[in-house]
Amino acid sequence: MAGRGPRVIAEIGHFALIMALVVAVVQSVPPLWGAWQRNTTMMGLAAPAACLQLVMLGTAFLCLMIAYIGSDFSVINVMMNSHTQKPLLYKISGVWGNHEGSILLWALILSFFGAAVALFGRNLPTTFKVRVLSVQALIGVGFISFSLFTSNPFLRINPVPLEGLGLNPLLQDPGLAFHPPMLYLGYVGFSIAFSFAIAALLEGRVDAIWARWVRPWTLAAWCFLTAGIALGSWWAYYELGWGGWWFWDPVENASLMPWLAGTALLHSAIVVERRETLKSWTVLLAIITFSLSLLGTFIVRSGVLNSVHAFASDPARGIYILAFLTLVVGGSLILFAARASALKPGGVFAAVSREGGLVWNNLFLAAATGTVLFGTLFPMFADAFGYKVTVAAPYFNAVFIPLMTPLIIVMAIAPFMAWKRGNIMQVLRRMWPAGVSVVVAIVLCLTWLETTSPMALMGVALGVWVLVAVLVELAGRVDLFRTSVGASARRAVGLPGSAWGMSFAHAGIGLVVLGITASVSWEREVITMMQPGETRSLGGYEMTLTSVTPGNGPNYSYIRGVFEVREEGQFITQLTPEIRTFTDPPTQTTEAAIYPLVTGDIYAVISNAGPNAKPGLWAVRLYHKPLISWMWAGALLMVVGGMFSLADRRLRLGVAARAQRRRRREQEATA
Amino acid sequence: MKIKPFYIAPAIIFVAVIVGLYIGLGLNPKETAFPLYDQSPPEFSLPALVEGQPDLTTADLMTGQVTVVNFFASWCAPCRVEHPYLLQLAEIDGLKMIGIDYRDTRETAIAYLQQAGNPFDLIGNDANARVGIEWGLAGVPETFIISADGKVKLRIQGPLNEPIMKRQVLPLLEELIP
Repeated sequence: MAGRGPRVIAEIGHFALIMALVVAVVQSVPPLWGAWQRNTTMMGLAAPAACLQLVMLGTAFLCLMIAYIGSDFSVINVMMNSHTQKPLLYKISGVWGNHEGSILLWALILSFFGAAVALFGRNLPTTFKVRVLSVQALIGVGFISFSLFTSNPFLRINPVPLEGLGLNPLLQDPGLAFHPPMLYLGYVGFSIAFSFAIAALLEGRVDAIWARWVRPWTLAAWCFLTAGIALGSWWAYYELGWGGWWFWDPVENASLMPWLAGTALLHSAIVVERRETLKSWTVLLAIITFSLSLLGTFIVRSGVLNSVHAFASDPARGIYILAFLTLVVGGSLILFAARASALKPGGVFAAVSREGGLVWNNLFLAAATGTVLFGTLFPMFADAFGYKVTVAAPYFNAVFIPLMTPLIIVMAIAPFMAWKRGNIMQVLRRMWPAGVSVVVAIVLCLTWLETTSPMALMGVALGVWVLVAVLVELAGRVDLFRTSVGASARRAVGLPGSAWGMSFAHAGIGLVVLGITASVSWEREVITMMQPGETRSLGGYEMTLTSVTPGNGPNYSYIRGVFEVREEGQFITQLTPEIRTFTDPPTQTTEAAIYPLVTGDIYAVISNAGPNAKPGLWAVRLYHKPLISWMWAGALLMVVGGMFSLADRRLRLGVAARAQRRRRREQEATA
Repeated sequence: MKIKPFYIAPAIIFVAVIVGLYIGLGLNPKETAFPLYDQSPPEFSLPALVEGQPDLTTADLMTGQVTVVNFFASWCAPCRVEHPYLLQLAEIDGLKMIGIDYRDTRETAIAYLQQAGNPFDLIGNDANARVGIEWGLAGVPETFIISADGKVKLRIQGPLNEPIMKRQVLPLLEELIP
């Protein structure tokens, strides 16, 4: 039992949350007014307030975490979502494994990014920085009051229950412990791009420096979001035991849409930086990307769409977020309509050029975002008019794949293009190894794998096309085969981080495409009943069920099947899928056993055949999923690419800062 | 100040989305949205539960009669709970009752129906869950109602109970059966 001492912790947290709201108001209204009136005192409030807000929300979050760790069941939120018998990791992840806690995490991360701008944004123009911080704080006001007034995690219950209700066992998993924070870091990270866009509209100025500032924040958010989506997908793959990893579920789409828009933003910001054009489009993208993050939060938290993610939903909360969404997005789009014409466009450019390629990227990604948005919201719109429809995988596959295909083709070509004016014939001549590889890969598929499915062939062709193009492009940059290996290696080390970043990220896409194609096209599955001692063959492997035994885990009991996997008689590995039974709350989960190989995963799930089935008989599902781990590897490579690019940015920001300091010195000298 | 249409378009689209979302908040998506809604059921052919009887196929769902398709299993406890409602449905004139025995063995299923009472006109044996997967089953029991023109009109996941019968099943059947 928690004693008297720790109980007060929740009150401290509650108080800190209220203070955070006050600080957020101070951070938003006076500085915004100050920036307008050029009042330095008012403007001076923004940066310290941003740091204080982080401290307050950090305190609130920490207090809630302590309540969870100490199992303080006088706090309703802890009682509803935790249990004394839960392992520590899941007591901690339980903090954000529920609605109230996750909104608090949202606000905390928002203030974290705000404080980061306050601390590291020293070389931003003063009014601009103040406006960024104020906009950030306005969003904060919305989220903190949402937390306090509709989803307060610190409400108490009396009498204090002796035991909590526990966390859904499906969520008791390391992959899922880190999935929400990653996703939120991504979602909320885009708030910085948004605040920068609003500040730019208020100032009426977007230039290369602006783009240089927006890009690292967007990149960081993008890395987190990529990792978050990949973690979620990976969790679905190994935990749910369906062998699937993407279901076009509204909640998944809610995370995919900001990712698509954010990816477009990353690329269009490059055009603003290099060519000082596409300005209003980039500002609009920044607004849209964050708006989609907010929309995603709305979809997830309001229960407005039918989803497998059975989050508790509450109409009052839905109305609140919708009102907030209307204010934030509506306000910024009206501001955009009024001010965008003030952003002077730069020069025109040719469709065949590096920036032309980036525009194609934006076009396809924006269209993809639109189609996912349409498909996700369509059932609701139809319902409003009295029609019942569902939009599922067939729609999404039918519209998404045709949009991604040209995107990926262009993605391989664009890096070879020169800025301003490219020569397509010259570029294609340089890309001959990619073309040859595609032909070889298709011939291999046709003859060796005897595949004639056009989808499979196209997927393989696209994946190989991108991967080889990336290699050719890198080889060209380091003069491979044209100079000595040592010189090439030195050049490789000397390449800018952004060059490596792009190569890694694009190669990651190639791996993802290959992984998806192979795992979908050449999957083998065996769904059958087995008893210990029996063997089934699965795409070249023999799977023997040797035993099925019960046992106990930390807070569950299990039945564990043991499979021996052999290839041509040679022992490869042992797989132990489990059926886990949790008592609080009473739930059964299936724990898939997966043996990942570079060539493909061997995936086994065991479940009860039913109490009336012949004793000793078990229902088993065995899958062989070729190259599926390439998908996760590809996602990881994309994140690594983003980080390389980020590292490079820091240097460039240094350059920008030095240039700015020099300008200031010159101004001072002339004055 | 000159405002170009391109700059206003996002705001206008957004207003439409917000209105839709607002209306959407008042609706309950769980009640009707499922992939098979108003579709013809997926094609299948299953051996009859009782050996020697003709196979159960999609054609049996397309006889111009309103049909209830119930996925059940002898090992499934909630199925026993909902069983009385199935027996109640079997009393209704002009309603065809089809049972699909899911991941189960013939002997135990037959014994179960003999003991609990058989509400079904036809019973198929989906021993390896093939049909269940095609219909998108989340588990057993699940109940589908198919109109006379062969379209899936309702899906109930989990056991039938009094409120579901009163609010969803019986009103729909009244509407479908003239």
